[in-house]
Amino acid sequence: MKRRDLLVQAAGGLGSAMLLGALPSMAWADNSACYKAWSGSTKMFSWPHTKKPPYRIALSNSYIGNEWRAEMATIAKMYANRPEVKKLIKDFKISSAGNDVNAQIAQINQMILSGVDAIVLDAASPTGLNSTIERAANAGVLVVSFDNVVTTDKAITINQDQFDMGKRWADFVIKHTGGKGHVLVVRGVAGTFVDQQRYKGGKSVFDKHPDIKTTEVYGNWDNGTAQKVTANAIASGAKFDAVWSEGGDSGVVNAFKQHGLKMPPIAGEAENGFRLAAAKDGFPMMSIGQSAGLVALSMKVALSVLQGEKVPQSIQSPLNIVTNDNLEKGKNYFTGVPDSFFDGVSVPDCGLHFDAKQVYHGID
Amino acid sequence: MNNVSESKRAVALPSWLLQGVTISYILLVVLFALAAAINPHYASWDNIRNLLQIGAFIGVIAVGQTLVIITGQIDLSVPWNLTFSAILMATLISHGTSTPVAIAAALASGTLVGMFNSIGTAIFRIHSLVWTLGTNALMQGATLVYTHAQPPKVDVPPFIRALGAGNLWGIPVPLMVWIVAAIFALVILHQTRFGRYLYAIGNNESALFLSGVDSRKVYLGAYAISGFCAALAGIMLTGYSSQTYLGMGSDYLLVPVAAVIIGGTNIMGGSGGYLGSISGAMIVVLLQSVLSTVQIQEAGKNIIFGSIIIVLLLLYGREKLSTH
Repeated sequence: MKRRDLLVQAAGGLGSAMLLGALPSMAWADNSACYKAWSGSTKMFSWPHTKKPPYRIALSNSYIGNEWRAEMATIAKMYANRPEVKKLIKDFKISSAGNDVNAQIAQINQMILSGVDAIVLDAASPTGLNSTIERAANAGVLVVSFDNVVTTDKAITINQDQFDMGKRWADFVIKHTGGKGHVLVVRGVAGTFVDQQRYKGGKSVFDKHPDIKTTEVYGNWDNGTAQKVTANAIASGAKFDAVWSEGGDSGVVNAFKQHGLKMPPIAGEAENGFRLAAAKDGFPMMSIGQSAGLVALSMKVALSVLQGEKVPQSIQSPLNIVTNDNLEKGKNYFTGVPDSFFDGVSVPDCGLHFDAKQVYHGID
Repeated sequence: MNNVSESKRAVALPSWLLQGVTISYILLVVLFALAAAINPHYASWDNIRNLLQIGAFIGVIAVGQTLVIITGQIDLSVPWNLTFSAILMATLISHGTSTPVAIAAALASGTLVGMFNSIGTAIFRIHSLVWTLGTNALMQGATLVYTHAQPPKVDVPPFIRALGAGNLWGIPVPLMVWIVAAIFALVILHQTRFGRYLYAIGNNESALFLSGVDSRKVYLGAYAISGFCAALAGIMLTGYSSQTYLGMGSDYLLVPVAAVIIGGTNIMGGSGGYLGSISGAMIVVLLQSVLSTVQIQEAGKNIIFGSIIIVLLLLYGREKLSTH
């Protein structure tokens, strides 16, 4: 299935699947549907140091202590092991530096010295690594930054639009409340880029509806904290008509359950427990999450660029929106994984599909 | 009240002890009245029950933390000790181990980690601030290796769910657990020789040593209880959110310490007690609840929370100076 999607997509560009067998590297030729520019002003990125495969690729990760990062690292390994990828890669290594900019700088320097061809990067800081990335580019090492992206244009950046995510959650809330009522806004970690963008997106919608009243709490993207702050908000007497939540959503659901309340419409992230609860209890929900599969897309882009393909410097990966209408067991929520598992493991627009159970169990 | 007068003799700083506790309870009442004045719903049983339920997690951890702080040390290994214990229990359950055995294993694991903490203080004489923080990192690593950074898929058994979120006769079960833990702490501190040694070690370890008490055993006991309490809180939190996850302990590094200090226990050791920690835990929970629902910027909330702790420390500090 996964293979076929990829082939069909490539065949669309080539006109013949037969050719694929003869020219394997041509499978990388047509990715225009997948490599979408972030905006009209995004420049194209061309890499002067193209060379023939196989390549040495390194994944430089920052934080490791949460489920999303664990899934991301597993997906990177799974992708590197796929036959069509494996033959392009001589060596693939993953290192995690923790949320410490200096440690990550040292790690990247080490990678440059060891002669890697490309570094795929989930950064500890949006700006702190810029000069190191420029050094890498000068040394002929391609840097592709995703998730927590960096600001320098010496690296290719790949992400999903967090502002749009917040906006779509808010649109959902407006649709289900008719534009009036009390909305519980569960934010993430204060001061982070993602929290600010998602919140601004939500606020851009709520501000247009004067009859919407919001109560804001910080759930730190964490089920237990989200549950506690939601319980606090409920216990202090407010009646909520809908919830807009950045994460920790199975905690939000638990808090409403424990107070014996009818579940309001909830717009939230992509935790399995949240989708499972919506599938079981049938409350109106919208679930959008940052895909851990972005790492595979980043590796794919790195391999394309090293082979000489021109791509936008800043690539936007579309949001995968799940609502009650397209909720499907085994496809976008799962029974064999814990509540805290992030269901966004694929990048469907690029034909990158991964098996959730395998992502959960990991590979060595 | 016989109990208090006895502890007076044992502690040798009675007025200050009573003052700290008194101040914290007055503060609790004032804060609660303020909260209820702003939002009358705060005085409802529904809200109080919610606060007591959430407060129980901090309160249980604060039992161990109070004991350790009275000895003049601190336990900063709670977050990942708690998480590891909870995930160990969940993993065992997911492999078919019976609930009581899994709970016992979690408590044993927490206690062992606590005993490991005592090695740093009692034998190597490394400050607990550093050693226990090291243990915390160690347990984080152990958890990540053990789980491949993915907590187990588990259906949390009803008994554990009840421990964290259940109600019995309208009273939250976590509150009952907290009450039992509180009685245990008060008895230990004020009715046992071990309790007197805890205060003595915090006041003057050399004097205790010269009087023939093996201070290593006292540290061992205090840290072991703290580890046990962290694991117990981990079990309760697993029940509360019906799952285990890697960030479970992130709220519990400094919040229980704050509860103990707000409750009037001297951060340098030697004085204080669990009675104050109870109000300290409730003050912290009340503040968190009010601040989380009052519509001010997160930065403002942090400033208010930090300021209250600093003001209290100043108050208590002065009290201590004046008694000397």
